Amino acid sequence: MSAFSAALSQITFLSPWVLLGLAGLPALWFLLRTLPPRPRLIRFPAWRFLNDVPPTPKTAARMPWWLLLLRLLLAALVLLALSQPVLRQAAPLSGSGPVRIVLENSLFSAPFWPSMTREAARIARAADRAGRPVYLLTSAAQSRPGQDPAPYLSGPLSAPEVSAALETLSPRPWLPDYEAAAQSLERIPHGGESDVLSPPYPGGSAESFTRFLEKLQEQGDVKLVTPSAGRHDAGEAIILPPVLIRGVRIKREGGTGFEIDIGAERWNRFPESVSLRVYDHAGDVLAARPLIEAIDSGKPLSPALYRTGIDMPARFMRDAARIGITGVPGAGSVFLLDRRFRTYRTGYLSLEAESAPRDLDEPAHYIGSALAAFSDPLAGDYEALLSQDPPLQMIVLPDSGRLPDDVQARLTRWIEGGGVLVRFAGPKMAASEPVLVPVPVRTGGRFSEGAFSQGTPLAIAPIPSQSPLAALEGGKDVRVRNQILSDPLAGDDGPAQSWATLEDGTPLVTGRFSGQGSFILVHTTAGPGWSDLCLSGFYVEMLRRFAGLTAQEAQAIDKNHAAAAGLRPVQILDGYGRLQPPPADFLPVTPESAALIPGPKSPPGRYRDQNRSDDGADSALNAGKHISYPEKLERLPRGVTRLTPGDDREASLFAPLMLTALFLFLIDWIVTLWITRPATSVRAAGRLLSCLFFICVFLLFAPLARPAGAASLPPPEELAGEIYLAYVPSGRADLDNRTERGLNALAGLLAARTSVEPAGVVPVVPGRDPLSFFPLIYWPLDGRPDSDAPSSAARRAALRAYLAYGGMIFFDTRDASLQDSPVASAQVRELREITNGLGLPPLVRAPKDHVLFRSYYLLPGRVPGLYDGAPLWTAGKSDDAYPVSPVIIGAHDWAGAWALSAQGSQSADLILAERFGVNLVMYALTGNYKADQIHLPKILERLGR
Amino acid sequence: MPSGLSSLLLPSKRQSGYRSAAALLDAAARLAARAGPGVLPGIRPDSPYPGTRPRKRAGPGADFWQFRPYQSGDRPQDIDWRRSARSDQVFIRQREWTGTRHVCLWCDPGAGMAFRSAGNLPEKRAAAQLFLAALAILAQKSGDIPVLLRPDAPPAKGRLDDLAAALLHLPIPGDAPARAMRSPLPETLPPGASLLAVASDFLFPPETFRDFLGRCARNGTHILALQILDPAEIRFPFRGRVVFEDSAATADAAAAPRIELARCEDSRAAYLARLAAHQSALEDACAAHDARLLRHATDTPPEDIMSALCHFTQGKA
Repeated sequence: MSAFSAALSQITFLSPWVLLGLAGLPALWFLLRTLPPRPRLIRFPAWRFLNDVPPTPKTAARMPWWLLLLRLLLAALVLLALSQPVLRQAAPLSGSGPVRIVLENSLFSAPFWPSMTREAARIARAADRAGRPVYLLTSAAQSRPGQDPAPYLSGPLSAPEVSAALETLSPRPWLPDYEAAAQSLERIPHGGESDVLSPPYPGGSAESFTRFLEKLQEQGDVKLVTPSAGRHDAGEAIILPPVLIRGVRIKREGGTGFEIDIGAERWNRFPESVSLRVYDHAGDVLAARPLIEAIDSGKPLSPALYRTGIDMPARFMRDAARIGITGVPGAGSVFLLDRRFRTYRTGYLSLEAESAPRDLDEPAHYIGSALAAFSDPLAGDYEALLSQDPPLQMIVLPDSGRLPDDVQARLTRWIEGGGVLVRFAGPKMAASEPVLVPVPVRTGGRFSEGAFSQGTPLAIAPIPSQSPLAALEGGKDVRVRNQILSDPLAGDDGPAQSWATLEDGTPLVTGRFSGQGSFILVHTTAGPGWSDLCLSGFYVEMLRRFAGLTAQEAQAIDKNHAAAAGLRPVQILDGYGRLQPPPADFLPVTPESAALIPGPKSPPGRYRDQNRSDDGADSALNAGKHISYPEKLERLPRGVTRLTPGDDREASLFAPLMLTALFLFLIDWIVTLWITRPATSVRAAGRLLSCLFFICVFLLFAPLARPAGAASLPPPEELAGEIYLAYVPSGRADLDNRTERGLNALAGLLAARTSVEPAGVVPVVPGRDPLSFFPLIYWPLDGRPDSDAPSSAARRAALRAYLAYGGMIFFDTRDASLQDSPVASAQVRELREITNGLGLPPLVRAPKDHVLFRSYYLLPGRVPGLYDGAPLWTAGKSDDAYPVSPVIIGAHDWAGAWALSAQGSQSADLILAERFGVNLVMYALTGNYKADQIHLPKILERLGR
Repeated sequence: MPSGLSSLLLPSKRQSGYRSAAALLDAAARLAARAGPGVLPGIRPDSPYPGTRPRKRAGPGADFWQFRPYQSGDRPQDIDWRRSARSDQVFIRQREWTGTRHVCLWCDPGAGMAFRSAGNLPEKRAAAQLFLAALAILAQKSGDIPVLLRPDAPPAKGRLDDLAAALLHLPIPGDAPARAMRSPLPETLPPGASLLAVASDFLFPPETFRDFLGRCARNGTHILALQILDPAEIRFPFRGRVVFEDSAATADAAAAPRIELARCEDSRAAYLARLAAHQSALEDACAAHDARLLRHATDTPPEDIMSALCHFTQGKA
């Protein structure tokens, strides 16, 4: 009973005065009682005998009581519907006076933003109905033209104005400024209530947030609304804790890659789709790793901070531009890599052709192999090495005699500009007067073996801790037989350091910083001639350390630059962690303001020295680096009510009530028809038919709950007669359900926009079901092969036959990968296994002028789904065998995007996804027919001539 | 209420009448096959000349009929000299008139014949058409010429399917105001028609029928009256408040006279009494003019009326 009254209290009537009409129902009762139903009319041949039948007393036939009740109910329903009842689920507003809506729009609000704005709009509507003014306030400051940044504040607003204002607001990629927000609160009228919409993890410290709430409490009641659902994945709403990339370093040991500090709560439910990814400048994925796996294998540094890593081949390292975490929108989950990370452009002198097989005693062979372990080395002569643009960061010279003068000058300039020159000693150097070495060396070598040998080969002494090579492992078994000695008597023209020595204190490695770069001499040969250094792992690690020197130096130099001149943003991150061009009126970050904390004046992003235009000089400001991991709100000030918006939509009961009334009306109609049966059966049949027609229409439009789950295939004659969209079920109910919803949405879109009217969506299993009826099969991959799928041979035969007869398969790996990354995701592996042996033509990235992008809508060549950035692969040049690409391979989870937009979400990317779906079906149906029109301008031109 | 007619002879239930002449003829042939030989009055099964039928009166023919004293105007060739020689008088030898007989058929064109009280019953007209078609088949089998009298057209005769088509396409009442007041009985009788089968509901005043029987008797025509009624007309099963409209009166439905009964069950007894009086008046009229009246309700099997017809003719013979 109390539940019923609670439910009743959630119904509001927008036009309550209509309910007065309910008082008229008793009058209607009497009216209906006195009005008998119409009598039946019969055309009767024996009418003559009735003509003089004595009349019987004429009593008014009573309407049956249930019919009367039905009609009264009908009238009551219509009245109820007209009073526009609205079912609200949330608690009503408290108190009286203004309603302040405070949006916590700082760093961690992005996943919750849609839910927060919906709730804000709902509160605004409720306040609007109550006639109370609404003030809108944000917690994070935002930049204002011509003024200091401050939190957004406006009001009093009406509900539509609030909706319009919410459109202009968005999550900010920096921390909230509760002080400023509290100050701006002083300017709004007090009283009423405050609704604070905040993610479960508010930005800033919990303490400051609590103080802010207390401040709000001085002005009126405070309700804290924290959304319960942040992310929709496969129809399941889960909250992900915030994930921050706190820092990134180039991996120093154990393969190439990045070492990443991730701030995340130890949490077991990160879905597989949430992954750590390395992107290049074009947004292509270079490497990926599931986040949960990365965290599991990482090393916990402190609570909610893990040091983990991601491996990638050295040749991709220099292309890495940013590291991001998919599935967790927000500026904190993106880390921009600047020039410090695009290092390891190395080269070494090799006068022979690169392809020539090298002898095992050739020093270049050892240098090349060692450099290849962590970089993509360039081999060439001096000219090739020094003419690189951007210049190489490290050049390794094997034993060389006197350098040509011009080379010497260029090398010097290059070192001053930041290069690292590594030279190895050898017979040639020993015989000449070397220049460009950190220390003066004595001509002639020192030999431990031979005629004048002084003793046994020497091992490496422990490396001093201040040396750049400190704590380098693995040099214990190295024996140096010959070396070049420094000349302590020669003039010392700079601080040279002995970075590593042999047991007897003679130098093995000496180095000197010069300008922005350094030059380093290894006092023995690069090859096995004088020592077995090159056979040891120490050799590789040593070179890696050398390469790292450039990076460290570059970092220091950037700071100097920022201090000297202003930095201007090139790209900034928005609150969702997407790179955006900076607004035109953005002021350069001056040294004073460049406190290097992300804020309205210096948003996270990529900055560049004002005086330089090359992208080699940009430096990044990352949000995650400067904030600590957020605390979950546990304790609230006394008196603050905490709410979670459940189903935060107001349900209007108008339509259901009206539909019920219509249904009752139909019943009444049938009953009346039955009571006053017409004379001839033909007319009765006609009326009954029209009645049935309306009932059918009613049932068609009534929302019918479709049973979930895969339906069985319709019979072949039906499949052949209509266009069905087919997909290959994965065997996972949530994924299949979502795919089906997505394709249904696409079918609806096709029917609405084009003359293609798909009859339905069916799951097909290749090798078991007939495929030939479907112009297009959508195949979402999930990396886990279906256990009860037919054998791969049967499947392959079915697919081969399908493709040979003009079918088209659209593979969707749903993981935004598909680069030529060596780390194949599970989906890609599954894709390889499926397509193996199908005899597909060579695939290429779909060019921007591909028919696929203009078969219905003109698309810009970018086709985002739930993800973006991965390429779309189609068959290469159309040959005779396949004029139309038999397979299209993408990775953006389009079905998910279609399903999402069918749920009412809207964004430019979702619209693109829908349009791509339409184009795809059109391409499957019309082939390259539209390709003709690509040449239309040329044809027209020729005609005009 | 399963109807024998519809179950046996209509192509499907729920059908109010025959759609095509072929369907009608098919049903009628099946019905006629149930009738025994000599169903039609005056048949002589052993007649050596199929198609000829003694008329029991003088006329052209082969068989002797009677001797008659010569009268002036008689042809001398007709004098039977052998008979005349036996007496003083001159006798004419008359032969019995033998020839094909016309069996006339008439179906009431009134609007009331289109009545049926339930969806699974045939219209009364359908029953009438079936019986008349069956009679036409029987007549042709026994050498008579079936002739369909039509209200607005010359009589139809000839092949059976033409006849059946004409029977089906009798003008539908009520589609033209001029036909509204059409008589339910034929207004003119063909001379020499020896048998006229009239299918109707005979719900018009009995005096009209009696006058008609008188005219037929003067013409020397035997009358076979088939009264076809709907069970609703016989039992009056209505309940509650019903408005009855005279279906036979006029084509204009809006102007048709109506009568409203507040409680039909109260008026049932009065109705049944009036119906009984009407029926006995009809029987009296038939008895007076040596006509035969057969009754059929549309919810009873049509074979009943065939057997009744057999009894009638055998009793007559």
